[in-house]
Amino acid sequence: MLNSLYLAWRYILHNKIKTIIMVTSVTVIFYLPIGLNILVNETQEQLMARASSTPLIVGAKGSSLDLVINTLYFEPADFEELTMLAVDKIYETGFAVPIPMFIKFQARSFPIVGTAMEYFDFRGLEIEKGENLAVLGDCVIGSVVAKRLSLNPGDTLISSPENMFDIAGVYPLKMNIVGILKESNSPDDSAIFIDMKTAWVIEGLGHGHEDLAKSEDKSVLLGVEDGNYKANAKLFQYNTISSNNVNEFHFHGQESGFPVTAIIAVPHSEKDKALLLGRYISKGETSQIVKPDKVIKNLLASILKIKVFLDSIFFIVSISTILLLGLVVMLSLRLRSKEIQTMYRIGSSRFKIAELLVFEIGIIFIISLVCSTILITVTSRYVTEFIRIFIV
Amino acid sequence: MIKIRELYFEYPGSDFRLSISELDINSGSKAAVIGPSGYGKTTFLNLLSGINTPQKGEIEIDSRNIGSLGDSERRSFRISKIGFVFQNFELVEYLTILDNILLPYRINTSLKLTGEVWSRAGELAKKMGLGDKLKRNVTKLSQGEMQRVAICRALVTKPKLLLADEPTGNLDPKNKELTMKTLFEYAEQNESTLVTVTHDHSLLDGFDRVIDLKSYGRMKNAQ
Repeated sequence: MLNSLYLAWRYILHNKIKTIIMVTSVTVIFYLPIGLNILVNETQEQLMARASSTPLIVGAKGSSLDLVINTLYFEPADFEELTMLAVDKIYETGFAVPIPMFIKFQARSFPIVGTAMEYFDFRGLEIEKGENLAVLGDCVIGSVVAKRLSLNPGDTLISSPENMFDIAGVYPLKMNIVGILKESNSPDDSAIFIDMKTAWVIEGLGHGHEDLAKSEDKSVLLGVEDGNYKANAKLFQYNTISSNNVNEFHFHGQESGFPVTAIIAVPHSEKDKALLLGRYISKGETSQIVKPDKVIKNLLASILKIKVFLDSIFFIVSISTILLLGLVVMLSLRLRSKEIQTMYRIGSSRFKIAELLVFEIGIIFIISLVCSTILITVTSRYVTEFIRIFIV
Repeated sequence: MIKIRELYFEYPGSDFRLSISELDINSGSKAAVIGPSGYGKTTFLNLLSGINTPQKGEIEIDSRNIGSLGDSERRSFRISKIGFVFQNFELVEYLTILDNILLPYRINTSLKLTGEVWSRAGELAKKMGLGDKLKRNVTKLSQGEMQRVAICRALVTKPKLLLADEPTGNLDPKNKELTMKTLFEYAEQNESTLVTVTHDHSLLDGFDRVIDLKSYGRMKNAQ
């Protein structure tokens, strides 16, 4: 038996390319279903972890999935906004703590999350370097943002304009980085947090400009009406907020009318949660309240359906690959008929020749098994980080 | 001694037939088998080695009728008593010179690959001028070297009967001479019987006996 094993090993070493192709094919057959399963399970776990830790989300009626994905993972989504009135409404019920969210803008491809201080407590986010938000224009960045952009407290970050060609659109705002969050292995690591008011400044609802009364260039002044100064577009607007100009910033309109993209509602108890849910049942209600875990479960159910489909395709592909490998073995036997004939003529039995061939295939399977085991181990070891790249 | 009596062999569905009523080859003799193509020279060797079994008649080698042996016994008999040298060397291309020489020991459990066999293989290779190339793959050898490896493989089991099927057919004159010299020397030194199929009549002088299969074998359609 050892002699057959030795001859099989020599054959495999001699036919390196054929062996590599066969080992790769068999490894893929062994690895893919298990690897895919590990990836799907980890995706499920990570998606559910974030969703389960967020009790309720309130948003404008529309796609609940868009609302949840935008609020939990800060993915850009185009949907209707609510106003701060909705936040006040939840607050007034006394059933939950409302945390407003305004997730619309980006800075160097990282999402800018406008929120309230309660968000940091709710997610258990801690400042690792610097300090938390204090004044208008401050921002706190996640650990991934800090690492990738090599930023530190004291640096600045400019919000990306929404549309380069819209000169009347939102002006970019230079934000002052005051703190860096401790790594939380969540989407918060890849986000830039600002106060709601700073978010509204980026939105264009609040702005700062030179004092018209003190302006030396009188041509910017169009007139004064009921004590209000009217200026033309020549008026210089600040694109950075500093201690020198922070007092020049102001908002036009009532804060209760300012937008929020979503509200995270943190009920005080299960009973409060049920009561709050009941408030959004009426037909005339323009906003929706969703349980993120339920929405994500539905999403995962769709993913699992796709996985079942992929598994079926994979099964068919595996069968085809095995048949092709069988064909390769059969063709190789034909090519080796002279060698087999020689062995037989010298004195080998057909059983011994069969043993030799079985060992060759066996060695290929064992190598493939080892390779796929290594791949599965590596996948299991790094799957959390790997999935985070996509989810975070 | 090889004794052949009333031998009849034909390939099913073929015109070919070989019929030998009586033929004796003495132990330790060197016999050349000649004859035109298609007269069964290779078949004759295959019958002697038990690869093919005759439909009728007997082939006795050292008083054993190989036709009466079972498959397994015949293989064991072949590998332990008979050395085979093929015209096209028939080396296993994925093995080294040493592994090719030791091949009979690796493919049949009746032979034990002992340290003595390893040193015998090394000595044979050295004698054939291959001592410094034992680890070399056989695909990198010249035709002459390949034939020398094939001869070493045939001799390593110390066979009492050496069968060679046109061993010089693909060789240049120098290697042809070396091959025949080695086979003759082995047969003489070990009192082994050598049966060689050849087309080359210039080699016949060295043999004790020439068997012309034209006298024994025939084609059906040649009658």
